[in-house]
Amino acid sequence: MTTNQADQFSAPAVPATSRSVSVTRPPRARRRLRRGPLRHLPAHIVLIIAAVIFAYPLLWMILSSFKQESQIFSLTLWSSHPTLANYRLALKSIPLIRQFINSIVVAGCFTVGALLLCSAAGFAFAKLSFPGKRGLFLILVSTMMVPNFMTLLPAFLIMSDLGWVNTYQSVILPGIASAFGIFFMRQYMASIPSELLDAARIDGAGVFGTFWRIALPLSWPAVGSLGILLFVAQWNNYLWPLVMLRTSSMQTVVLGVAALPSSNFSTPWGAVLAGASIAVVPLLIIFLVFQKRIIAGVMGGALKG
Amino acid sequence: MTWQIGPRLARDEPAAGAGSLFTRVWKAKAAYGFIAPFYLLFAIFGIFPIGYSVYLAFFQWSGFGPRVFVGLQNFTTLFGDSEFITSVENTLILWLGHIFILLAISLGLAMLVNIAQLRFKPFYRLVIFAPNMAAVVAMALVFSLVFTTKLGLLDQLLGHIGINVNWLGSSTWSKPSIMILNGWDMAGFYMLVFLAGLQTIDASLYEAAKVDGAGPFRRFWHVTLPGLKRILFFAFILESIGSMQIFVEPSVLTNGGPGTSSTSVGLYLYSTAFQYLKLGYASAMSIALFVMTVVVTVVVGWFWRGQLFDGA
Repeated sequence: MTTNQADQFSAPAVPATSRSVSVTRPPRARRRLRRGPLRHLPAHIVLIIAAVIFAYPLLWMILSSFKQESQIFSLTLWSSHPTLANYRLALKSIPLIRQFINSIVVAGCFTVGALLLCSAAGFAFAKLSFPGKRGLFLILVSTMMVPNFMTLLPAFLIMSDLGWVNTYQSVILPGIASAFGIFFMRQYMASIPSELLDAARIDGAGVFGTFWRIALPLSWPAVGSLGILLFVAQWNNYLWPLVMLRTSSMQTVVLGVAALPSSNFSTPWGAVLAGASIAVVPLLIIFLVFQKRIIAGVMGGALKG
Repeated sequence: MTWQIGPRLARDEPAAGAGSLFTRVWKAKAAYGFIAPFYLLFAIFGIFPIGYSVYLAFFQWSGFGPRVFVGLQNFTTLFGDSEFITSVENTLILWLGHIFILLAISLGLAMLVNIAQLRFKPFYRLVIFAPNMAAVVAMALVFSLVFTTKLGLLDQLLGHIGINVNWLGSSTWSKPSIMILNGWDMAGFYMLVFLAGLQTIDASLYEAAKVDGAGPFRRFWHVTLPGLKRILFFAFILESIGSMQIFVEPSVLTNGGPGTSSTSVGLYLYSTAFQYLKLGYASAMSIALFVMTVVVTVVVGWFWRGQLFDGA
């Protein structure tokens, strides 16, 4: 199903990624009799309830991390006596600052590497012709079906043979070959007019020059969307780093937070909430800043699948 | 699967049919350079590990010392291992227990935030998708507080209507707890997936249906659902494959318990490999998990074609 459907959608869907998401304003609502703020009241009621359900745990986590240990289980969001004690305890229990830097290094290097690899391969599959292209692309798509668990243990054994266990590269390298990323970039690059690439060719640019100076800059919206999605995925990644990163000073924030409940004699729930907030809030900020790009990336990825 | 051949880039590249295979491959060497890193990494961290996995499945090995060839014994043990059978059952229950509700809720939310001229749509989309940005591990820890008996947020709310549930401590409710967390995490994602699909449906189809006298339910059944069938299938397959590999939620929320009531195949595999160091047995299990994923995918595809949409 994948390629056919994707080709069919690529023309309208891809340019839309650069625009706002809410572009469709079909005229059908114009015929509604009722106007004013009460229009669509039932829809608003349902959506407000949904918004509370989805936002409350996040808000509760962040705000409760400033509560005193005895108040943590209260439903109220605001604490009468806000405290940083939970953060101090979390920092004392695990090397959170180091782990935060680890997360940035791992997710950052992974994102840059994956973007280079995916956009280059996506360009080749979209705009170059070469023998075996179809077969190679089929192999690429089918790799998406291989479960993580199938390669986890042997990959760990390979890493220990290489002496790479507990290193950044053991987490960064395997994921860089992202079939989804290549697929994503191919769809976008296919929408770049070939005339532009031909013009560059006539001006004497080689294949790499055409890619680096023309195709890549023109694909910036897709690169941005994919980059954020990859960064978020790697920041939140748990299973693979759990296996590869063995010492707390090499672990990412997410792993550190998962180790917090067992770091003290009885689970310090306040510190757990503080740690969880440290792991989650940076991504929520990224989400707020790049919301359009992220939402466009997810929606674009869905149509391409 | 049709596949559009991109226009050739360099003038001196011959057409796809000209010259011997070697010449054509040599002329296109730049293209191979572009895609080589993927296949190289995939060979090292994909194909080789898969082969290694299959090889190890025939041995007994703890990571140190000699490997003992045991033939198919790992596989036969697997089918007699009650904890493995339970983990397969749990995984299937976790999958079927949440996927229909999750996708229905996501579709409903997508249709609501797709209403033309509804105000605050970007806000609703933002808030509902936000959980998907948060690390599942972190949120599983937060939800273990939400699910705490009596003191937890959920029981405090439900206590007002006289309900008290031992969420994580009873084998009846450990699985629903995992499903709730999973649904809370993924609903926003599938809402956006369906929203993308809804926006590709031609609005004139709804107009035509209205002119023909179709009410909201008939329009949903005859316009929306057929227009979404591909993306519904995509979402169903995606969530099914993800459900087969569920690991983080049971691992953090219940650690598979109480007893083995919420142990998933992934969780059992992980502890077999990295805690009990039965590497050969774990490899056999990973092959079983792969086969399980393939079977589920094929069965879903078969149902989808046969039952829901004719010839979809």
